[in-house]
Formats: sequence, C-alpha cells, structure tokens
Amino acid sequence: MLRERLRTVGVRAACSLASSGILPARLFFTVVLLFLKLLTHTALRLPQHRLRLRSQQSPQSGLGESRFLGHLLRTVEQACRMTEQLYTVASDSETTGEDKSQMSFPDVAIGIDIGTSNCSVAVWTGHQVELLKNTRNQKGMRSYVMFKDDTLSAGVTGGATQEHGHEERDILSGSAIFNMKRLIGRMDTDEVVQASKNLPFLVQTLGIGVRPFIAALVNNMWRSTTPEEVLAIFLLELKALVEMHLKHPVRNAVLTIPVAFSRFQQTRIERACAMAGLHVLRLMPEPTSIALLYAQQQQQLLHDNMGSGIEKIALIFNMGAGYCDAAVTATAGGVSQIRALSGSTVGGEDILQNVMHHLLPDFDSLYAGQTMDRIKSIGLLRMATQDVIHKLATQEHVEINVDLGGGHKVSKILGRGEFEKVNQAIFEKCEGIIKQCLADAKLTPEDINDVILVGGCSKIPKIRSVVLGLCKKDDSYGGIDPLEAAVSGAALEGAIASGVTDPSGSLDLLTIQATPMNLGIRADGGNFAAIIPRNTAVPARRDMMFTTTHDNQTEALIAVYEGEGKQAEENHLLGYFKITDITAAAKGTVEINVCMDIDATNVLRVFAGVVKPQGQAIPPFIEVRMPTLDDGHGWCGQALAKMFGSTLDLAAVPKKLHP
Amino acid sequence: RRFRAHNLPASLLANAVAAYEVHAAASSRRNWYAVLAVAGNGDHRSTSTSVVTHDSLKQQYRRLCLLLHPDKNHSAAADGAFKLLRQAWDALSLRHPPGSAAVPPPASRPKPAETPVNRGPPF
Repeated sequence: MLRERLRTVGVRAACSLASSGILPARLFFTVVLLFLKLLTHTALRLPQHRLRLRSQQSPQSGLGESRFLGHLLRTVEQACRMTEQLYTVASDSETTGEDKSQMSFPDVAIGIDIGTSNCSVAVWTGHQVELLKNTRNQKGMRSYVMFKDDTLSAGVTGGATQEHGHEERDILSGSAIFNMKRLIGRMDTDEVVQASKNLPFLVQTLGIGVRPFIAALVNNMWRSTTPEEVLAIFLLELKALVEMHLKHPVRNAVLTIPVAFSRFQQTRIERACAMAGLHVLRLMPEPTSIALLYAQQQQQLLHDNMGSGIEKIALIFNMGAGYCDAAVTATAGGVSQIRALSGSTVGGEDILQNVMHHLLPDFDSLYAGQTMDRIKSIGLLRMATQDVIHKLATQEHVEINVDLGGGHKVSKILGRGEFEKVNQAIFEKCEGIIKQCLADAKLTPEDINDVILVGGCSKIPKIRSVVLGLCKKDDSYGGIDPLEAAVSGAALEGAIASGVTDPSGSLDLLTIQATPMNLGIRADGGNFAAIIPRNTAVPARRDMMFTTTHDNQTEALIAVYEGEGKQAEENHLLGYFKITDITAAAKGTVEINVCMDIDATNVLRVFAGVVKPQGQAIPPFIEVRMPTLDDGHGWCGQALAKMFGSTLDLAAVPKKLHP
Repeated sequence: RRFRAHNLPASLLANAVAAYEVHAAASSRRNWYAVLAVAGNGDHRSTSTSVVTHDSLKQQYRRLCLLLHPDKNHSAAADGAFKLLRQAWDALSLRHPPGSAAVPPPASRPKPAETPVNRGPPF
C-alpha cells in the first residue's frame, strides 16, 4: 500500500504534502532518506573514476572515460531499483501479522543442496535454519526423475512409488534418470560421462565434443532428455514442496555446487533453475557453505563465553557421491575467509563402480547392449554393492550373496582391507586435494585447529583416517551434521544475501569467497596467462598488459579460459571476442589492457581495449560477460586455432614495477 | 516491527557513506593505511593514532569486511570499496607480517591535494 502510494505521489509531492501536514512525519523521513540515498549513489562512483583517470599506470587504469557515463547511468538505475526494493521490505514488515516465521520474509532465498544422490532444502525461519521434510518425512530426498508414460515425477515426493523398498528398485529400472549433477554441462569426451555408461539408463557417446545422448526407458522406447531438463523437473517439485511449507511463493535460491564445477556447468545449473522458476542468488562451493555454518557456531561459542575470539583455521573436507572438495578457512569475528579451495570429480559413485567391477570383473562382456536383462542385473548388483559399502563402515568383513539372474551369481566375502586396496587410487586423489589445499593456503598441519568432515563418504573409515592423518588430528570437529551442513549453510547465505538482519546478531556473518580456478586468456602461442589466479578473494578485479605479436596487427583475439593447465587448451574455454581497429604499428609496441572482474554474485566480466598508442579514433573498451559459449565448446578452441592460427595472437607484457 | 521499517533506510545510508569513505580515502590520499582506518561509526581516529600490528590490522580488516562486503552492504559503491579494502589488506599484511614489531603508522596527515577533491553534493 505504502509502495503504491509513493509511486503515484512522488518525492516532490511528498514534501509538499508533509509540509501541509497531510503525510505522516515518519513517512516523510523515509522519503527524504531515500532521496538522499539517490543523491549519494550518483556521487559514489565519482572518486573511483577519478582514481582511475589519475593513475593511468595503476591496476585500476585502462578503463577509459567513455565508460564513465555508462557507469553513472547504471548507478542511478541501481539506486532506483534499490529504493524500490526498500519499499517492499519496509511495507511488508508493516502490513504482515504476527506470524513472523511464515510471512515476514517472502523474499528470503531458500538454500538447496542438490547432491548427486541426495538432495535437501532449508529455509531461514526468522531465527534459525530449518530443513524441510517431504511427505514421507525425509530431509534427504533421492535425486532422480522418473519417466513413466506421459508423467514425470521427481524423487522429492518419492516418485511413483509410495513404499520405501520399491523406490531404489524403480530408480534402477532404466526409467529414472539420476546422477544429474555429474552429467550436467559435460561433453561426450569427458571421462566422467564415459564412466557413466554403466548406469541403468542410456548414456551414449560419440566422443566428438558434443553433449551426450541421455535417455530413459519409457514403454520399451528410449526417451531422450538432458541433465538440465531432469534437474529442472526435480527443482520444480522441490519448489512446490517449499511453497507448501511456507505458504507463499518462492523466487530466490542459494545452491551449493562442487568446487570442481566449471563456469559453464554453473550456467547450466542456473538454466535449470530458470526453467523451474527459481532465480539463483548465489552458487556456493559446498565447503564454503560449511565454512559459514562453522563461523556461526564459533560466534555462538563466543556469545556463550566459551570461545576465545582468536582466529581459527579449519580444514573442511566434503565427499559426496559425485564430487570431493576441500577448503581451508580462517574464521574470526563471524567472518570466514576462504584461504584455499580445491576439488575433484571423484566420489562415492567411483567407489561404487570400482567395487562393482571388482565383484564381477567380466560384467561388460556378459551382456551385449542395453538390454532389459543387463539393466536388471546392473540394478541388483548396484543395490548389493551399495549395501556392502555401507556395512563396511562398521564391519571388518561383509558377505555378499546376490543372484543377478540368467545364471550369474556373486557370492563373496569382502574385507575392509580388500575394499581399500580396490579404491586406493581414489584415496590417493583425496590426499592430493588436501595437500594442494594446505600448500595453497601456505599452512602446515600444525596450523589447523579443526578438521570438518562432511558428505556421505565421510563415513568411510579410510577417508577419515586419510584426512585426519594428513592434518595430524585424532578426531574431527563435532557439532556439524555431515549430511545437513551444506544445505544449512546455503540457507544462512540465502538470508544474509537477501539482506536479512537479526537483532540478536546471529546473522552478523560473512563468507569471503575465493576463486577455485585460475582465470586468464590465451597468450604467447598456446600458453595460458592467468589474470586472476586461483584462491583470489571475491569480489576481485585484476588486469594485465598484452601486446601484439605481428607488425601492423589490427585485430586481436581474446580467448578466455578457466583451469589449472599451463597450456590454454588444457583448460575450459569460457568464450572469446575480438579487439578490432588496433592502430597499425610495429609488433610489441601496442599496449592492450585485459581486465577481469568478478562481483559478489560471481559474475565474470572481461574488459579489453587498447591503451597505447592513444589515437584519434580509438575504439572504446569492450566489456563482455562470461561465459559466452552456449554449447559444443569441446572443439571451439581447436576450430579457432585452425581458422586463425597465430594471426590474432597476443603476448603478455611483464608487469612494470610501481613505486 | 515498527523499529525495523524505520531503521532500514538509515542503516543503508550509513553503509553507503562507509563505502564512499573508502573510495575517498583511496583517491585523495593514495594511502592504504587511510583505507584501513576508515571506520564508519565514529572511532576511526583512534586506530590511526595507536600502533600498527598484524593483529590490529587484521581486526580492522575483518570489521570493515562485515561493513563493506557486497553481501552486507547493498550500496552501489560496496563492490569497489571492498576491492580497495582487499588491496589495502594485501599490501599492509605484507608490510606487517605476523609477529612483526609494533610500529606507529606513517604520518597520514592528508596532504593538500593538487586538485580539489569533489566529495559529492553537500547534504
């Protein structure tokens, strides 16, 4: 009501109304403040701009005057948008009733953890985070979508089945698609996709760098789908569940993602969310959402006079079904600074596949093609193997007796030692991730105060001993639920990023994110020049100078990559664009500035333009939001190389030393 | 609840002013100590007179993070202010490594600027 009135009345009218005593004084105060805010907004960018102009050689330099007007306009626009938001919040808190937890926070983002095998959702209720349960009273719901005739149903409500025992068998019938998180945004040349061919549904690859053919069995026919579509259907059902609980529509969400996710995969998650009618407020690497939860617990200890308030270093290790990540975080005063991140695509699924292969080595030769018999026996073997792995967490030896049909039987006693030997490569990878994380954070095991183990695989004794051994600790940090931590952290971040403040101070928290991978461009031949190195605090802005590699080169290609490889082609190509109309000059004399900017919502922008020589008709800096590529980026880099060779190449200019 | 409706714009304005102060400190003095000394709630002169240690810098940096990070500060200047804060922290934590002796900060008297600094419209 307040908002509507102000829209029609306007600021000037509000003033005159106030002076004549019609408008209440309090409302007038708000209007004046907002007006002042608008003024300050227009002024705020000025000093930064001045700084840029005055220090042409400093890192902020290079972005020319032409962008200033755009900046100004955007700032005013943003200010206007903000004031509008302000009214919504102010009026809502006035008009709603006493039911605070249900009604007062309609714009607060929910937290979602879409796991490879399990999914959960949590909301900030006004004073704490609450995990929602589905109709079957589960907090962790199986992540899958069942395709049956014309109806699709996701694992949120338990799909088509109502009984627990039947669910798992239905999931493995070939009619359900699962493991979306492992398949999303991957090309058919990807080894993770190759390793997914042993799943009951169809994953076909041609190895040509396009998306794989994924299909579910519906009435003996393969119905093709994409991981995005499956995820969107799942999220749609999840959203309905949340709305049923909260009794109001939900728009914004914070989702957790693996550290190893490329920016391209992140856009796929965003697309799936958009298809489900959810706006992604933040995508949080899983260990960083746990870091936020840890920061909250440390603050709570301080409030209860049990904490010391000094900085605490925690190593967070998260291993689920599809991915494994590690982070080192320094926490004090509610601020959790991510010092290092590392991740890999190994997870429980790989352990499962390894053990399945160990139990029945000649499985692939037993059945030709994706026949019903094969699907059925894969399903039986998978269920039996899963059961064995779970039991091995507490038992030394487990007996397996499973009839796969068609005369194939597996009966064996699997010991824990044998299990660990079979999965040795996976445990070694986990070790590598932790070692890299510690080295990147420049810390030794002695610096670590707490080791936090989360994710389904953290129950495996060998994983625990590997992580604790590397960190020289006897036990892990208690007080964090290994399966609920990620989603709780996401819901906390949802509340914080939505601007919710808590009078008791329980939301005076912050996670300062870091970039998980190097970001840079192709330069000096096929090399990769990192502009924003990994583990840089976000928001971040870095730039680098480049020069031409040919005489009279008038065009240059900026190919943006993300990854750890020294060669550009070993990394993920995010996009490319051309700088044109470079003044013709001898090679090495032109200075081209490439600047990368990541904002708090993790949006990457690349600015590029010629800094020297400054001619008469110098084109403005070009600003491009990444990634620009939509699909088939598997062979884009090669196509570019084939088409242009080195004609559009750039070379990095060593950094000048500033006093 | 009435308090909330009333308080919100005021805190947003305070946030915007804090972010603006960081920009001003960086542009008028080009001094990272000045950036880290920006406080936003009145006590900013006290830190610039006391000695500088790694821990005192870190504490101030943390406090400013909670004030300036775009998650916490929804003003348009927050993004740039946070980046300046990071630069200041990166530079000063190198100059004052952990365990280094406490030193008084360099004189941060604002030199008369060559060009008059436009501090935005008066209000």
